[in-house]
This record gives sequence, C-alpha cells and structure tokens, in this order.
Amino acid sequence: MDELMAQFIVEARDLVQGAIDDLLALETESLDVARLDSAFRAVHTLKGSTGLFDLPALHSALHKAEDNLGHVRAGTASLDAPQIDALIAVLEWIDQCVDDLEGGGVVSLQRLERAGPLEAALGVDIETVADGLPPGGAGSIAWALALAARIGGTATVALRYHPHTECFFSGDDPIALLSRMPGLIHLSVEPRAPWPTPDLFDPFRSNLAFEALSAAPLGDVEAIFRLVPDQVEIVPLGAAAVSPPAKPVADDTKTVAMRGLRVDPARIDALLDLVGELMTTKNGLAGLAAATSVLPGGAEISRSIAVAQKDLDRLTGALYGGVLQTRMIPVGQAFRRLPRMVRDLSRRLGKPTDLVIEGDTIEADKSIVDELFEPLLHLMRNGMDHGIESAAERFEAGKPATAKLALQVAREGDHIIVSLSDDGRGINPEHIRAAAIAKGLVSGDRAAALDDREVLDLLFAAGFSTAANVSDLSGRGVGLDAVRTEVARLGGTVSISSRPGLGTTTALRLPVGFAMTQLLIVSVGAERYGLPMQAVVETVRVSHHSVTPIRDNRAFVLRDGTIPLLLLGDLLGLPNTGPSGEMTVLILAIAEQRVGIIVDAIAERIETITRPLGGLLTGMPGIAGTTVLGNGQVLLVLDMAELIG
Amino acid sequence: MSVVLDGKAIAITGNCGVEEAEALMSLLQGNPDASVDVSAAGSVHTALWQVLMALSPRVVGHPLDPFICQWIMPLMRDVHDRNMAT
Repeated sequence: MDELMAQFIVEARDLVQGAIDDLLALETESLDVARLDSAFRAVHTLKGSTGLFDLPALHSALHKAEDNLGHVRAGTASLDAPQIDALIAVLEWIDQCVDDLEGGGVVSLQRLERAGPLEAALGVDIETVADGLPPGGAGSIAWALALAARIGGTATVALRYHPHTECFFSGDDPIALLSRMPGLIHLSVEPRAPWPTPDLFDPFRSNLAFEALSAAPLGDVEAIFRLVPDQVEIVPLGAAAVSPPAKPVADDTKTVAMRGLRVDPARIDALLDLVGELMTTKNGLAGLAAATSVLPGGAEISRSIAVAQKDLDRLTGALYGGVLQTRMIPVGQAFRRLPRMVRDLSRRLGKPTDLVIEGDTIEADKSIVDELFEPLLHLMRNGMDHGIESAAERFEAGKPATAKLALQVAREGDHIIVSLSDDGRGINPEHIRAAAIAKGLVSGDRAAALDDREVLDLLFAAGFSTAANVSDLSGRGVGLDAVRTEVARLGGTVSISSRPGLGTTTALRLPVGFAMTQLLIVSVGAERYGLPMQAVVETVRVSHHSVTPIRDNRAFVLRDGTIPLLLLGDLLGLPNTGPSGEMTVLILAIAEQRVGIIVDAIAERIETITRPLGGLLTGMPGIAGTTVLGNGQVLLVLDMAELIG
Repeated sequence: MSVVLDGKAIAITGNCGVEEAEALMSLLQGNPDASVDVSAAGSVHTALWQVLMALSPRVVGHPLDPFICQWIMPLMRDVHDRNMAT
C-alpha cells in the first residue's frame, strides 16, 4: 500500500470519529458553534483527502454532507435528529469504506452501492432552496482562517463587522463599539464599495467593513456585539487555525502529520526489550561487586563497580520510563465508539440511556487500551439489554425514564479500575442460582451453599446466559466468560456486584502496563518470590509469643493497631512450616488496610520490568508476572491484593 | 466639540458627534491640501473617521484616546499613504 493511502486510512478514521463525536454532541447541545465548526472541518478535510484517490462515490457523499453542514453554519438549515442520523450514517459508511481500503486496497462493490441511498438521505439540495445567499458570505469561515493565518499570534476569535449602511441614523458608532472589544490584536478597515467621488459621497451612510482579531474568550467578544448580531460574523478560531480548509488538501494532510510522530509500535517494543535486557545486565553488576569484594585487594574495584551500577541504575530507570511514556495513551481512546453504540442501542431497544464517562484521560499502556473496547462493548450491551428496564418498568419502579450508564476509570497503584455501572433492575441472585442449576453448572446443594457474591460469579461461567429470550444484542452465545477470558489475558480481573432494583456494576481491574517495579525478593522455604515494594509499608520482626490466634487466624499488635497475620507459604499453598521464634513480617497496605505477611527471609531489593504472564501461566491467580534476575533465573512476581483477596 | 479650519490645517477638537461629519467633509472638499490635526480630539464618531478614510487627507497628531492612537491612527496613515501612492 502506498504511503499516502496508509496515512489517509489512519487520518480518515480519526476524522470520522471526530466528526461523529461532534454530531452526537450537537444532538444534545444544538448551539455549540465550535462543535459544528469542528464537524464541518473534519468532513471538509475528509472530502479533500478522498479527492487524492480515485474514490468519487466517497467524495460525492462527503461533498453533500459538507454542504449540509455549511448550510447549518450559515443558519439557512437546521440540524435535526434525522439530519444528524443521515450524516452519521454517511460517516460510518466512510469508516467501513476505509476498512475495505485497508483490507484489500479497494472499496467493495456492495459498499459502493450504498452511496446513493445514503446521499439521498441527506435530503434535497438545500443550495437551490437557499439561492441568493452571497457566495462566500455567511457560511464560509475562510476569511477568518485567512486573517488568522496572515496575522498569526494568539487570536482566539475572528470578527467581521459590516455596519449597516443606515447604522449612523440608528445611533450606532461602530468604532466606539470596536474600542470596547477586549483583547484586540488586529483591526483593519476597508470600504465595502469603492469610495465614490467626493460630490457623491454621503457622510451619513456607512461604507465600512471591519475585520478584527481578538485574544479574548468568544463569549466576551459576542457580548460586545450582541446588539448588532446581523452585522457581525464572529468565528472562534481554536483548533481552526491548525487545519484551515481554505488551504489545498495536500497541505492539510501535512499539517496533521506534523502534529505528532506516528511510530510503529513494534519499534517501541523492540526498544523496550532492549531496555529490559539492559536492566538484567545492570542487575548482574550487583553480583559482580559482591564477588570482587572477597578477592584479595578487591574492595576498591568492588566499590567502583557499585558506583557504576548506581549510575547505570539511574540511567536505565530514566530510559525505561521514557520508552514506556511513548506507549501510554489515554484510556478514553478505547471509549470513542461507545457513545454512538449507546445511542444506537438505546434507540433499537427503546430504552433511552445516557452514557456518562469519567476519568477517560487516565493513561495506560497501549496494549491494554487497545484491547479494552471489546470487553467494554460486551458489558455495555449486556447492561443495556438485561440490566436496564423498559421505560414502562422504570416508571413503575419510580425511576427516571432515562437510564444512566456510568463508565468510570480510576487509577489504583499499578492498576486501572474500569467500571461500568447501570441504574437498572440489578441481578437477582435467586434467578442466577436457579438458572445455574437448570443448566447443570452446579448441583442444587452446591448452589445453596454459595453466598450471593459467589452466585454472581457464576455469570462468568462458560455458556451462561440468563436472558429468557435471546436477543440480537448480547445473547449471541458469547457470555461474560468471554469477557473474563479476555481480561485475564491482559493480566486483569473482572468482578460484578449488584443491588437488586438499583443496578449493577462490573469492574475490570487491569495493569497500567509493563510495570517497572521495585521488587522485594523474599524467600519461603527454598522458593524465592518478588513482591512489589509499593505495597510494603515496613518490615518488622515479631516474636511468635506476641501473636494472638483469632479462631483460624492470627494477629499481632503493632504500635496502635491490631494487624492480621498471614503466612505467605499458606497463601501460595506451600508446605506449612509454621511460625516459630522471631518472624520476619512485611506490613502491606492493601485497599487501605494493613496486613502482615510472614516470610522466611528478605533477600534483596531489585528494580525490574515485570512482564505479564503469557502462555500456560496466563490467568494464574495471585501472580502479577515474571521477571528475569541478573543470574538468568526467572522470578515470579506476586500480586498480593489478589492473593489475599 | 468642533471641526475648524485653522490656517493650513483642519483641527478636530473635543468630542464630535455624527452631525459634524458633514462640516468636516465640506472643509476638506474646500481645502483638499489641508492636513487634519486630531491631537486635541476626544471621542470622535465613526462618520468623521469615515470622511477621513474616503478623502484621505494627511492626518496628524496623537489623540488622547489610546484606542484611537493604537488602532485608528495607523488606519488613517495607511489610507493616506495608499492614496499618495496611486
């Protein structure tokens, strides 16, 4: 595929997405001029880009869409729900065309056949209806962009002010008005028509056209001219200056490409691997320093090696952080298609639903974010299909007619928690119990013995589907088990909680990325494990006399509080040695609670990259990943929260 | 306050309302070579500035109003210079 096409494919997706986001926002905030401009620009740029290739059908549909948006901007057409639908349908079709282009280099024939109906749905040619509009008049913002480009600087608002010919008679004083304009950075004036000869010149008729740029907020500028709205055009510049539609298309693509550097993730991964190896080598220096120190006269060399290791330590740390930063992207990127999915589903199901997204700027490794969409989509469909009630049912229950889906992201140490909550009917554990027994997933006795949380967990069992009638949405034979498998593959966990009648929350706990962690290496019997230092608050020595047994458990008093004690060997299912004499206890802070973990010994501290588990180890509970020690040994890194929880 | 011919120059002084545009125009038409001194100008209506733009005399002086000084005077000089150039 040629480079231009490859770039078009990447950018077209962004532009389609951006335009759809804008249109969805306009559906609720119909007067958002900036959104409208942004949608218009995106469609315009898309149209221009398709012109570079032999894609007449795409070009024509986009041209129509651009026209329609242009008329909306000019105020000669309105943007109603059917129009938004038609525009979004065109954009989604473009998205599919781009998929085709990426897959086989051409748009499929069936796809192209849809162009006609889509274009027709955009409606009659409004241009003929609104004949008489001055060319390049109100709808165009080319003048504003040209002005901003010419003057440059930090302008946020461009203004064109054509006082009415008769305005002096109505008491207007245009220059006095302009003098009140805040943040003025440019002002020019031209006669609207060439000055007549002095004998024909009427000093009481205005023949002036002003252009101005201001660095003040849009609202402040609008406020000044609120009494002469029909004589001014005020254009917020914002991002407009970045891709001026007035410029030739080729320039557009260039501008976009200049904003960032698109790097093949494989190159970054290769770098990351190298950094990992560098660290392993660096860690090996510690052993070398220890070995030299016992040689005759080796103390001096040993110290030098230790100093060199310190430096290397700092540098590799910085290098690693830098490389990782390039892989971090906001989780919101995985959510971009969700609003239109919710909108689409809420229409199809007849369940009006608002999607509220919080924390979408939190960043995580690209490998995690890229994989987040599928499981979320599935959970969302589930929530809307099964969780959220019909409007009638909601009315009966005294709930607002519009249901709420909340997607929240929070950072918790090295993990992100992505939770999706609905305010629907919740899950009745009894139904799940009955269904699980009916499907033969558990025996009646076993089901009765499960507590509610464990019952909800049955939802994740393979082949579980509780919906009485399978809908075309979520009951497609893919159950929540698919979500759990997917999340486990990413090194995460999924949990569900529900309050009958009030709603259901599904939470995904995922690693932020390949974690560069300070590990504490501890030994239990002959085994050695890595424990993330982050969770360790302190280490203490506890005599076994001061341990109080509480039923099956143990606890001891540390300063002001009682701390439960757990044996790491027990948690890992190792042969029980039992505590005796002086014990080494790590005090961990997990979910804001302190817990003591008894280990046999603390070996050393290292800083390393923890790799998520792969292959057969995938999904092994309590293990966060593996790391390679300086001597080549593989160390299992424990996920204490999971191990204890 | 007023638009008066003072020797070779027309002086615009004080605040001038829209109605004085006509007086300014006839003075300029009668004295096409006169320059216009705005150093004592106060708040001057757009109509007068428009007369100056249309007839493009040489406009001199630094009015007290900073907005006029910074934004309008350069426009007057522009118009005048362009007129001279043609």
